[in-house]
Amino acid sequence: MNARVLSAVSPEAKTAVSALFAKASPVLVEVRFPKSGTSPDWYLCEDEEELSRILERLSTGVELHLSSVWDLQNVKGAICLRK
Amino acid sequence: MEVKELLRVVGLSKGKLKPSEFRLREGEVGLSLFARTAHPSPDEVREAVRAAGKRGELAVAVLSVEQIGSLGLVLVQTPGGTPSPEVNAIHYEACLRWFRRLLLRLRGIGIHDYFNQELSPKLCEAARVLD
Repeated sequence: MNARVLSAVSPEAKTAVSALFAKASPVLVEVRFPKSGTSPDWYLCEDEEELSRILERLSTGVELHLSSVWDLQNVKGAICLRK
Repeated sequence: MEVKELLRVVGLSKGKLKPSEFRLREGEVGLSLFARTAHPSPDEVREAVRAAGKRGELAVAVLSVEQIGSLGLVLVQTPGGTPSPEVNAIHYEACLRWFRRLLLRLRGIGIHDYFNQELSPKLCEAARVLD
């Protein structure tokens, strides 16, 4: 089951992302490009600034799936953001 | 518009194509592709994907409609998700036929699991990278 998708700029998303980095850094980020004829990109982020730099250059509609590297099996623990 | 070939924007690893470029993610029902047209050209398709934020050494892989059909996939035209409206207008998804989807569901097998195990390697083998 996929986690709920949050708007990347919503307060709820910012709170969830901050909590994930605080508790379970580093974070594996999968950047998906829905209906864009290509495969996802992958990043390992140590802090929120790295994630912000990735977000800045993505276009609208791109999805980010964030998981702690310590708990990759926990799908419910993942955070899904849409730019 | 008659579509004869389809494109996928791929990252090359040491100059080679990998099956991971043709995988479905959970929740996706078809492989996202673009029709090969003169305008927008394959280069314009690649640049639209790059503009979405895709990184890496990007190339364009081509598959024929016959190759896709021989794997039991059907093409469905859907709106694309890149920043380019012209490129989005030539977006397709290669989907399993409904009967195959029904069989997989009855067996409790995810569409993406079947696709990635059975079809991704074959699509990779069939694809040709444009110069």
